[in-house]
Amino acid sequence: MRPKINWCSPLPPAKSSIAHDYSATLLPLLREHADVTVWCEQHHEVDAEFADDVEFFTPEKCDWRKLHSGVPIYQIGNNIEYHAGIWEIARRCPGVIVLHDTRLQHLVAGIHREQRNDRANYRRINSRFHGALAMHVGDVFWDHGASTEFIAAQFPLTEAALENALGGVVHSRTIFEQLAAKKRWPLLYLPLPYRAAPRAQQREKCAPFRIVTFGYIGPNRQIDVLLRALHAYERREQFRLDIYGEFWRGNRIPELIAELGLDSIVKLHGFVSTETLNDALDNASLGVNLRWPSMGEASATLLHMWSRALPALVTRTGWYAEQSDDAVCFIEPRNEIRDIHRNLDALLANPLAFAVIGENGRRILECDHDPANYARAITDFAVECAQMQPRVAAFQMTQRAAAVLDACDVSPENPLLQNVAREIAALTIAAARDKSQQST
Amino acid sequence: MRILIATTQMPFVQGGSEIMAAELRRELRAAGHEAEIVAIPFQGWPPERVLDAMLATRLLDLTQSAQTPVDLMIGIKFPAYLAEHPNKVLWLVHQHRAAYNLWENEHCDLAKDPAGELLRETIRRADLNVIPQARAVFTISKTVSRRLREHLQIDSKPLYHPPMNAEKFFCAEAKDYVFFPSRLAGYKRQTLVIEALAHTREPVRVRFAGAADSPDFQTHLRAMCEQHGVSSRIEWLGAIDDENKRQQYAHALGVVFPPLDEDYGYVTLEAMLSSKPVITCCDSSGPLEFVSDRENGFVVEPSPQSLAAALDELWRNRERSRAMGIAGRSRYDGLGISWANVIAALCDQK
Repeated sequence: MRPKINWCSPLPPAKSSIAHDYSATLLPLLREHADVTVWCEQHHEVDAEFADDVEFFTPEKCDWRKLHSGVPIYQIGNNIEYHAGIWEIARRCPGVIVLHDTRLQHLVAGIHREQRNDRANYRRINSRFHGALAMHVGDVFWDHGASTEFIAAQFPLTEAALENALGGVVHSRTIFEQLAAKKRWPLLYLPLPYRAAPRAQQREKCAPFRIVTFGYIGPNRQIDVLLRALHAYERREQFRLDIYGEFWRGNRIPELIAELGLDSIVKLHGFVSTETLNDALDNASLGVNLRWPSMGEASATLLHMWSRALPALVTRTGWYAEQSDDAVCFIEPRNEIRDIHRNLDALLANPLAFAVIGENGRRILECDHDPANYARAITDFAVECAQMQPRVAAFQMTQRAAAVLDACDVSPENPLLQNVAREIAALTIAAARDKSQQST
Repeated sequence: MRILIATTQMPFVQGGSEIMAAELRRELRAAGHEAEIVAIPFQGWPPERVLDAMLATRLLDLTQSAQTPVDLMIGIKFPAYLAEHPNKVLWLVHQHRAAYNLWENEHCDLAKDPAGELLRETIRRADLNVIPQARAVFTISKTVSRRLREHLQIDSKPLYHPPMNAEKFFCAEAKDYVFFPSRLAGYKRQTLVIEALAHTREPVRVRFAGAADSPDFQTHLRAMCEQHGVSSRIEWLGAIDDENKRQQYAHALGVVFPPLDEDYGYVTLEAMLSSKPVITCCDSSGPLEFVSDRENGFVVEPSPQSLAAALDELWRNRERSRAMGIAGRSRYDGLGISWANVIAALCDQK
């Protein structure tokens, strides 16, 4: 029977790479393998080309019967605008969680602090997944005594996203290994899909060389560091920096550009069409895609650069650190300015060597990030995960029993624990008879 | 033997399965056994509590009482039948219906719950694991056996039992009403009968007996009667005692009983014992094991129009109705339904 998938994700025109680069690319490919309905939050706009198979929901008004009639696949990222509602329903209705970010404090704190002013539950969730210290640090954060980046690095809340999951999909091998070590969920590592663009015609590039950075420019994108590096670089007139996309909290970057006297070599373009951006990438000699700290995400921005065979500077952290050093140019955290200067020197000395790095990236993209392979693999995984409902129930029973036993001060040596474990297994693990029937 | 009957009960609710458990205990005792009922409080709402109840039941020790072994456990309802016992026999009233035959029903609360699929699959897994471990699996009807086969591929044997005080039912001269005794609940479909009355050509009158599952439903039914202009042809008797119930059966022109997918349905058997024809529906399940269309009643489509046509025919042709009632009694007598058969099968240690 053809599988049924309920794909919970923002869609274009949402200003989200999960909408534009990820879901919009995957949906036609997923439909080759399964019946797919997209679930979007009620208040979101959806481009006409996607509108036919969209189910709108709010966490308060969701057709649960319809949602669990197929395997729900929830796209979880940190943007509260697009993922708060998905987070809410994913915690109630088990499904497959796709972790686009693994440090999820931006989302969780956003939901509890900005949307709901629900401090008690924010404390509870920190305490539940990271202990009393996280709860206390969360209090400091709540009162604006610590940054989201800081608390996200210490207490990422990854497991909160997976608590009731049938399975998890991650795009980082490192994160996969960390989560797999817990032996808690069925997990799948898949390189983030990205469709390689047709090869652009090679363009002659000479000084001043163009550097491009783009996307949603959040506080961890290190744009201020890049600007300071350019300011401190003697041969900065050999470069032009183009910044595309929207900034976190408005005007700080333009002010910094003026303050550093970089108006002549740095230009802000705002949010532009894909065609305009691609043209800029084809004319550029270097992409910059720094993160510090990383939220554990795989970067569609880097894949976009690779699709235009553009070499990129990346921070050696998280998913970026997993990349081959002949396909990216690494910047060491805390030595950013030194390493940016080193790479600019190298580019000026040998532009062709940088072009080779971009070509290597493009080859990796074509080989490992094929959306068709991704669509097939995630569909197969979702079908497997649909059988995992009793496994989730087993964990829920275990937690309930643990709470009761804890309240009764039952020691870990008490044979009652063995009994409870045995009976949970008796109810939820497929018995031999069941297996033999499946095999026949 | 020392025998425990493992069942569940929704506190303050008394229905067919509670009567059945009490009757079974009485008959076991009459057969010389020591018998007790262990009733676990259980309700399907809120759905997440179902897992608690399943685990709690598994952790009960029903193998001994007062340091004396319990020789046999008879499990009759979910999740009580999940309890472990080395000599366990199941006589299933039904499984957790919301996870099986009621799942597709638009009113199924479990299916509308965010964790509905998780609970359904977990209940199925537990049933698949535990039911086959019983020494023997019986059900109260072919309907329940069919569902067990359809949903879980588990074979079982139906064992019919008589309604309480079966010997006291009698037939008397028919008066101008059709009787519908049942709890007032959505799946019993009193609503269908009310709608049907609006379509009858004869001045058919119906007496409903039974308490409402919720005050809201009772209000809803009365509002429906007003809406369809049939209030003057309906009597609401509420909960009535057994003696009154037998009187109502005895003087009825016939019995209307159109539930959705009923497990067994004492109403059908009580009507047959009272020599009354039964109008039921082709999706009513349990009653169809006993009612043959135009022999001892009517089997109709579950629509107001079809039900109305049957009610009209029953009302119009009194002599034929009486003959169908007699045929029903004769059918019952021929089925050999007895507690002796039930006790012999459940206690058979071979």
